Amino acid sequence: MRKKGRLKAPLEPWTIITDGLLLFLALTSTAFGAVTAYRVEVISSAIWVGCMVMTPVSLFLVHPRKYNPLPLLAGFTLWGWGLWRLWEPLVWGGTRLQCDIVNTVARKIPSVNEIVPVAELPAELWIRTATLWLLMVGCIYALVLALLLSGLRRVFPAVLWMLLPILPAICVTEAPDALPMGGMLSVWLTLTLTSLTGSRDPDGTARMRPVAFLCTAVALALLGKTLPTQGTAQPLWAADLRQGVIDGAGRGDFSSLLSRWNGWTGAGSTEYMNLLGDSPTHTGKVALRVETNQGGKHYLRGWSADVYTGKRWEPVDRKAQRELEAILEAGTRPLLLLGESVKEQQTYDIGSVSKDTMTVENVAAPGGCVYYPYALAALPENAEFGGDSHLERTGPVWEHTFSFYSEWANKDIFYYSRVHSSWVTYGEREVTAKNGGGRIPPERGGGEDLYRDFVYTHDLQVPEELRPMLENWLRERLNGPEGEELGLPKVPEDIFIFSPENFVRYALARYIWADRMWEQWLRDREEKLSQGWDHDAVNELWQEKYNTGGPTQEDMEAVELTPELVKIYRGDYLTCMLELVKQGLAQTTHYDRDTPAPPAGRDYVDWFLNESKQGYCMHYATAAALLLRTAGIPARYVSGYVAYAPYRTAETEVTDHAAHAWVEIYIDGVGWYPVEATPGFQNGAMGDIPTLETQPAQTAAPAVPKPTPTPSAAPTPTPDAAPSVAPSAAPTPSQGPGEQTGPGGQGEKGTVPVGVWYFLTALLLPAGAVLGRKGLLERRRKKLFGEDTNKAVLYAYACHRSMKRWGGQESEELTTLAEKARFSQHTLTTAERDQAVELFGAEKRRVGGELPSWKRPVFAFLWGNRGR
Amino acid sequence: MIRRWLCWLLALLGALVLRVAYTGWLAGFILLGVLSLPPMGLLLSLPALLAAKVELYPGSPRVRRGDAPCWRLTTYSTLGLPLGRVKGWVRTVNEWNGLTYQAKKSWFSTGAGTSLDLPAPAAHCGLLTGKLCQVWALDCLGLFWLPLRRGGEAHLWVGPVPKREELPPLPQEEAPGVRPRPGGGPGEDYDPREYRPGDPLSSIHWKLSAKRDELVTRETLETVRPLPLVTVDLFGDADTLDATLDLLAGVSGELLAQGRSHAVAWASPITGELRRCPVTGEEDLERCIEALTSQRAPLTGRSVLDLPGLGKSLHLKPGGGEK
Repeated sequence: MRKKGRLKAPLEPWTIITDGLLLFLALTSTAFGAVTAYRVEVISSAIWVGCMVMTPVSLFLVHPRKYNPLPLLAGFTLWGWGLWRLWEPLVWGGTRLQCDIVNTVARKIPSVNEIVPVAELPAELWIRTATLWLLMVGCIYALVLALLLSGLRRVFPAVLWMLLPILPAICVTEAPDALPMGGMLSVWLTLTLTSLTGSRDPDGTARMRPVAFLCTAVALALLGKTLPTQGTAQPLWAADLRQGVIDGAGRGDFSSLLSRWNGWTGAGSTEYMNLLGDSPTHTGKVALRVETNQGGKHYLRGWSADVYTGKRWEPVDRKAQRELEAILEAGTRPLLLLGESVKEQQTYDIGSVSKDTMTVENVAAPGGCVYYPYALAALPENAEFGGDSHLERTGPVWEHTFSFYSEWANKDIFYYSRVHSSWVTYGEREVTAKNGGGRIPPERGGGEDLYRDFVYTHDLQVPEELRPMLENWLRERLNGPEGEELGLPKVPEDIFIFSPENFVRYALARYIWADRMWEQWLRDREEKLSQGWDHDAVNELWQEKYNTGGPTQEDMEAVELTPELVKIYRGDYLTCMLELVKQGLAQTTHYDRDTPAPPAGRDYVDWFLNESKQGYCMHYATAAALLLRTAGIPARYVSGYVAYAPYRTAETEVTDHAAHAWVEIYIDGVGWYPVEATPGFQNGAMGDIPTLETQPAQTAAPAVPKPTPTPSAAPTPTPDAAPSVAPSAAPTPSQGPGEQTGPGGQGEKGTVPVGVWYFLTALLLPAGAVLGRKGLLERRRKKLFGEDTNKAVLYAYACHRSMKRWGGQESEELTTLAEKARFSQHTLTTAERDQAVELFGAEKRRVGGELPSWKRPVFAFLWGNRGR
Repeated sequence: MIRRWLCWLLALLGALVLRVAYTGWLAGFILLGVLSLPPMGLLLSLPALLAAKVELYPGSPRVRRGDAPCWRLTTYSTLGLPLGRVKGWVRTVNEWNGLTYQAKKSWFSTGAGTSLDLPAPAAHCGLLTGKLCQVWALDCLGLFWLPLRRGGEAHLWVGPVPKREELPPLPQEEAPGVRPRPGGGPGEDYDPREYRPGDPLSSIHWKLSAKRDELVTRETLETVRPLPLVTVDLFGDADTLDATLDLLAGVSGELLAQGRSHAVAWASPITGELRRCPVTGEEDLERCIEALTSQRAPLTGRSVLDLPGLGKSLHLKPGGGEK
């Protein structure tokens, strides 16, 4: 047996060519992979040319025609001479690259500081020196790669050698650009696919490698069309499992994670919230254990998500996260703002404030976050905020005690900003201070403004293709019965009022218009009115005039709008829009827990609002968030649990039936405020979530509440309200391990991207065709050479006849034989059978030869390319 | 193959761990890349597998018992694509004594084709028929065994080792007989017969022809002495058969060395049909032994001595049982 190692036999030219192509691809993809991973600025054309030159040179050095150390010696001498002459720029280039690599790590690891080169060179010079450094180091790199790829033909060392330059970037989750990474993956897969024969039969393998490379490149291109090729892209199952492992490691107990294999997935909140999937299923197992001194309905918040993709909710991208981190470093804590605002407002109103406590134990709730009530008074122990989206535990502690203000929903918090504005504008700070310290804390200054800007940048985003539909939906509600019920004026089509500014402008314009109209109206009826003042008649006539008309665009433009006015009336706008959205959703859709997923390709919200018009909390929360964003109100999707705590009882168990989704809107000066959009859950109602007092489950449809003019997510002071809404379903069969925990605690089945099925089909179809053909030919051969010669002759005749569609001609001899086989009582001899088969084979060869060239492969595929 | 599967499973596990631990897009590609490796390996291997064929040939068509004969396995590919690891089972049947052997061979097949030898069982005489029962090749990743096309049967003849012993006395020759001399010609003894077209005029018996009123020809006769007959029985175990054949080869060889032609006769052990084979030279002897070993010899059967009208013969039996 030949010993593995350097090949002694000279390679064929074709082998050298394929090795060269593969080496070139490996070099270029590695070079550009490293450049894009570390964001190094280089001269791309120089890298291309360098790779083109290095490929043949290194191949020549690795495969000398006869052993001669001179070329290698000359090469190293030349390289050493270049190193000596270009030492100084190379040092600069090395420094530049070192800085880029460290900065790449620093971007991901906060404890690593970014560095900059000490030398102050022009940017152009940095680029040149970095390119030069890459080329000089690339010479040695290329030589080693050529030795591994073409000389020693060691696959896995070559793969590792290619991975080496980008390994630090990969370790800090920074990937190269898709194209160079795809090139590297193609080379790796090609090498792996030809690894079995590569070292022992290089010449034969060289014939396989181009095909292998082509196949892998096509496969990766197909994948690239369907899967994301930049940024964060983790499927729900992986994100969930990751969090489960982290939780398990922190808790030192993996039983919750392992129990998923038995079907318990613990519906709850997760970072990525998949919207596509079947209707939710729940296990009825306990997720949280809650103990509080304040009874009633409590929203226990998990994760929030800011970006709507049409298929799921997900966090903002990396760049925005880094921006947020920088803002939060200034000391702003967005998730404490609501509590601070409630405290300030309560203090302002009544001069004192009372805090409530709640202890939440995470029994098996997923997501890796700490579930907590709204309006926290302070950050609890063993927990810290993960950005502005969730609260995360800092150690293996599964029970957290919160201090919070349960009165958050009872206060007219929407108008807090107006008061806030008044304080600032009219200098009433001293008054509030006298009333008990409702003073604006000094830390709520610049950092909060920055955060506000951040929120207004990211939480007003709506897919552009959806915006017309959403605006239209809002306008229909505004001019429809919902708007009428709320007492809102009808707005002409050409006036856009879906922003606080436009809303205030329109309201003021309407006053101006009304004054003008009133004077005009009086003038027109001066004579009539002078005869006697019939107050009711005048009022009736005026109302008719007022309700059928409205300000024009000119009236709108005539209004002088100040930021102070907008601040003052923002609360009115929020109230109006929230009620409009909630009532609009309640009137036009109905709650159905068994709502199926939208058809492939349809937007989730579009389908819900315009086609299915049925859904559950995820549908309502998603639609409401987008509608509110369309109306210029920053909103985001939140998931967690809705718990009902019986009054004055020690402990409440929250099952995954209580998993729920709702919306948070951002109110200036108040922070994120929860809004309930799902009918049946508003006010104190618990929708179809069973409470402790109503378990075991009763069967009743979720109640659709009557629209209420006030914000609805309010803890109810009386225990009677919540249980009146009966739970809908007993615990349903549990989810399998392949399913994922969806948003809002709804268990969603994992969806495999359509492209993956295309990819697998593209792989399996040719294999199936080839195997099917082989089976077909084998069956035909068996029939032709079976023991029953009569049947064999008849089959040969049938096959011969089917040649006619390809241009075959009938054979008299074969027809005679077939007639004999069919009608004679004798058994045909083997020689006669052979003759029939030979006639069929001859006809097949003849037909195959006469077919046009494009038909021949098909014919050969179906009929075989041999005589028989 | 198990090692390769383990490697792939490890790679899959690594890709899954990466998918779970690493939130970037790259992990998805790597996971799908590792998952797609087996089907892609199968797909890439198909052309090489369909274009390849394994044939079986005898290393040398005739050998003597105790030599080291071999089967030659040849793999070739019309596309010149390498197959990698190939394994095959060769089943060898001794057509004479019915013994069956099976051997497995594993080899590496290059794109240019590969030949290798597999020892053939030559412990006993007989016609060996070799056939490739199964031939499998690994796909290009080394994960799946896939069947390969294989050629037909091959034959190898294992001859006896002549046992040179003192020649036993041949039986007395039988009374000579007469037969028409081929080509005619002058002679003292003749038989009259009807004229056949082509008979020379000089052979016509004119006197008798005149008497019978039809042409009568003289057919010259010659004296024929029958060949000494050597008989053997074709049943028994493999060693007995080998010993019989060795004895026959030795005796016949010795007779031929003395310039004495003879005939070998045996009875079919099942049907009892008499077979006779004249031996006038080495080639005849080889042909005779080949014919003798080409049929199945059971453990028991009918002896040639039981056949009526056989006459005197030298019956060879291992262990000095010549008659």
